[in-house]
Amino acid sequence: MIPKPQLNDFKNIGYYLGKIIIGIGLTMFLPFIAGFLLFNEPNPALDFLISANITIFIGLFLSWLCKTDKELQAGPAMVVIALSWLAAMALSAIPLLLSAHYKSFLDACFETMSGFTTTGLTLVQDLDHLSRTHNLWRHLGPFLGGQGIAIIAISFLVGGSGSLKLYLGEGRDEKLVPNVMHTARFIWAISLVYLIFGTLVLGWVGMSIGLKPKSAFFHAVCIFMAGFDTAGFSPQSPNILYYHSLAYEIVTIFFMVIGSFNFNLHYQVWTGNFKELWKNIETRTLLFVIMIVTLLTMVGLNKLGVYSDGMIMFRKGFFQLVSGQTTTGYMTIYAQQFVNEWGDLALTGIILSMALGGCACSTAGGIKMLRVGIIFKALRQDMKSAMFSPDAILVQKFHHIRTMFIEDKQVRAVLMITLGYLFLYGLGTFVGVALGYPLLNALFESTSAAANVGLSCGITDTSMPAILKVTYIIEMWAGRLELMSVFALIGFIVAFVKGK
Amino acid sequence: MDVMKKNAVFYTVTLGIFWEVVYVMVIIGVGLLFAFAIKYIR
Repeated sequence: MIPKPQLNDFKNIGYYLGKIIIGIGLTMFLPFIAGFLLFNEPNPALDFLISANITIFIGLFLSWLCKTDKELQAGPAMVVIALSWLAAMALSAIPLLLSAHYKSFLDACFETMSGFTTTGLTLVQDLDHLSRTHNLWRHLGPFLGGQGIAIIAISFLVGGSGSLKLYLGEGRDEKLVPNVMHTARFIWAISLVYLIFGTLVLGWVGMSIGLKPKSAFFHAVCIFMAGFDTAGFSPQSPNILYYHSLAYEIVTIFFMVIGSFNFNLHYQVWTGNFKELWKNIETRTLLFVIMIVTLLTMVGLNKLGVYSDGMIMFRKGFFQLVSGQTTTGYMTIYAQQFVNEWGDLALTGIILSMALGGCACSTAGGIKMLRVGIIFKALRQDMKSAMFSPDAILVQKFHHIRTMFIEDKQVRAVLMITLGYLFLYGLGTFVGVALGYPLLNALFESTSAAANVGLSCGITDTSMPAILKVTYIIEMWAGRLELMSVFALIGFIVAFVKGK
Repeated sequence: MDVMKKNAVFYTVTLGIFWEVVYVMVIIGVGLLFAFAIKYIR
């Protein structure tokens, strides 16, 4: 018998959801202030004042209506997280809709879900004439969502034991330090140190290629936020191709790779454990996987003679590959070139890199390097046990922050999440093919959405069917939350309908 | 003492960032090597 959720459970969920919504509303004051004081854009700034007021009012009303002292349990915490991402999508879409650069509310919701989940697929119209205030909000989304909506709530609004459950519900099961509040603050510290460093470096490179100082630093902030948080948004429609600069591309590669690192790895390296960078199963797997997919893609490109020399192949082929592997989605080619020029083998290499993704507990999406590494080690153990006597006791170790032994329970959990991702990739592909898109294109775009990448082969467009937009929104949302919170929400709804 | 502690943190973080840069350089090196090697073999 499934127990039916009680009124108290709804109040508990509503109270914490209300607090998170207040947090989202407060962040809207950043583009409001920047619009007024820095960009001299009073009208776009007002869009954010209106949206912030609506959002904060909804949050206050919800937390007042559902006020409770009951401690948040693990199950409801996951439901809060799943709902808070949907609330963030809908409420953050209001200022974008007011900009008149989106065809419908659904398009604006697609954009914000893509931003918060650090995907980077976009449905904006006439991006090159979008106000800087709205553009800043587009790029702030990945910066906030990359760290995690729960991290914002834990850092500023929610205390107590509920904060740990919210943190775990967001697809992150690693704490940097024993206290979850300190973990949240350290994640902010890493991001802010890199924000300053990245803005200075990209700003300097931007000025050296001819951008005016104000423009160079605006682009630097935007590109850094969307690069480090592996989102792939850009203030200009040609994306990174706009800059036509090898230096800009190299610096962007650096921030994409660094952004796909596990926050726990940053913590280890930044506190003096430098060897961790070379011993960790994730960084080793990342290097190995990059070698394999680079080989596949380069051979594919070379076979068709797509690029005339090695440097162009590196700038076009390898950049797209790192962008896919780190699940960023920055592009130095046009979307149609993937389909029209690259050929099936190179495209397969990119799809593989996107599907496998970056490191766990990072801003990146996809199956994740930790899981790929564990599956590889488990396979090795199984192959060994087939060769040795059945009585032989075989153990397989791996190093992730500390040396651990592979257990069946762990492998099962890893395989379940991996299967979940494969199902998501398949879901979008099926819908795409059903709507008449070629199989490889549909697989490419679906993997890009579910792994929170943002590379596009041209399917994502304002004219694509609404059903496909909704499918990609679901894929981005479920992919970012690593499915668990989504399952918890579905379970909660089932318990409400069928429970006694 | 407090200043010394701050300096130590600054030094360790800078060194940490340096090693992260080195790791990315290795990845970029792999990309360059493969791009040129495959082109050369052709």
